[in-house]
Amino acid sequence: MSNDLSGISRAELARILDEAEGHISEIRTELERREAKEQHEAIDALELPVTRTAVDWSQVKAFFQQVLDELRSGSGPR
Amino acid sequence: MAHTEALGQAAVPGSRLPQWLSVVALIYVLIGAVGLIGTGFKAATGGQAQELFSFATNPYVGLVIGIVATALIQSSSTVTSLIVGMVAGGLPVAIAVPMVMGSNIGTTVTNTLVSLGHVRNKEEFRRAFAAATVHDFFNLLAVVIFLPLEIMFGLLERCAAAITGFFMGDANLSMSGMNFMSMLTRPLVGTLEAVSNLLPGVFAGLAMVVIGLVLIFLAITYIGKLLKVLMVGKAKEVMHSAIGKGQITGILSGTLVTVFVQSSSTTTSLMVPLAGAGTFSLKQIYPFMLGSNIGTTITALLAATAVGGAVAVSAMQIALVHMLFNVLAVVVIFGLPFLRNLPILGAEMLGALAAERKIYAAAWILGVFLVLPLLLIAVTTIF
Repeated sequence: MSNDLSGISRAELARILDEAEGHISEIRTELERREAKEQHEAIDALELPVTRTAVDWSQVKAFFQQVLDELRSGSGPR
Repeated sequence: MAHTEALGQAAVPGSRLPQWLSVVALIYVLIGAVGLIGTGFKAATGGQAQELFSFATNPYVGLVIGIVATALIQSSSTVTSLIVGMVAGGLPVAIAVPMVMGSNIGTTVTNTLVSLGHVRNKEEFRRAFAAATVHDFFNLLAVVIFLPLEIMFGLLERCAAAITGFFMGDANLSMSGMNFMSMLTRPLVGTLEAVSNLLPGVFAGLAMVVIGLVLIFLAITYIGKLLKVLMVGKAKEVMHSAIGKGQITGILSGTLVTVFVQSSSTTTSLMVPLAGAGTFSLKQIYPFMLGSNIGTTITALLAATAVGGAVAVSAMQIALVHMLFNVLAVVVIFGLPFLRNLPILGAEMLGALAAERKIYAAAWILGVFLVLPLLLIAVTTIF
């Protein structure tokens, strides 16, 4: 669409605006539908931990090892 | 997800009766164990619980006991049930209230540790850590608001006493230790008491407390495992129905799912990977986390039914304190617009910092669950 709107009549501008708003609303609805679909799928795929808690201690250990490495290297953002 | 396995779908319909009977049996053990702790605590302290726990009259010490015990055991249900048992054994409700508040903070350590599993991907870690710590921020804010009110006015203790008085009145006092649940669990409790009484003096009481604690822990652990199998379908149904609905529905959904699986740690830890993956936003996760706080209070209420006699009112009172604290925290913090977004802002900021440098995440975990408790004790002891 041209940026020069001065040559377009008010009625035409109003029609274009309505149309654009309609498109935006459709896009928003489609985005919400897709988000909800993804969320439903994620819940369907959800697995409950068999262990008492979902904490994976090897990952906790690995995390603190990374923290130590970060401190030793004295580095900034990683 | 490590250490996980799809459950529930594998369960064959019609074969669930033994599992449900096991849940009933385990609830029986849980209730009996709380009764046993009450008896044992009374015997171990010689009725001098107030004097023995005088060190915990400093509410910050009580708070720290609750935080540390729950963070170590990773089960607020076990700790609150233990507290109910101790109150049944003579621990004053006023001393127990900060412990209950502390258990609320301690329980958030689990999902925070779960979020560390996402550390390899910076964006994923930012989202997961924020989702986990929004629960931390909320529960810390709840304590910051309600602990001073409790210290100054005994707000929760009084409200719980009023509700307990309204529903129970003096009925239990006049029944001299007889109530339906305690009568029902008498065979179990009596047997364990008899075994413990083989030990001399104070050791018999201590043995009852230890056996009771172990039984509570085991009962809650296995109830949780069984309910995960039995209720996974219902829990997913509830979660499905909350998608696209408002925040109140999110809170109700978190409450129901937690009641179904009897573990707030499980429900909150479930949401962390979903937030990490970006499937759910922090604002969508937040109400669910709050609901889990309310849902977990059902265990202490259940535990309180174990207690008969004069202390039954106190046991129910502390269980109600747990529930009131969590319900009021949601009403006040979530209900007041200027407070509602504070946990989200805090979590987003911390998530962003932690994604940049992991030391911030480590500092938060060690600070909230270790350094802060120690500092609180040090400061309040010195001053």
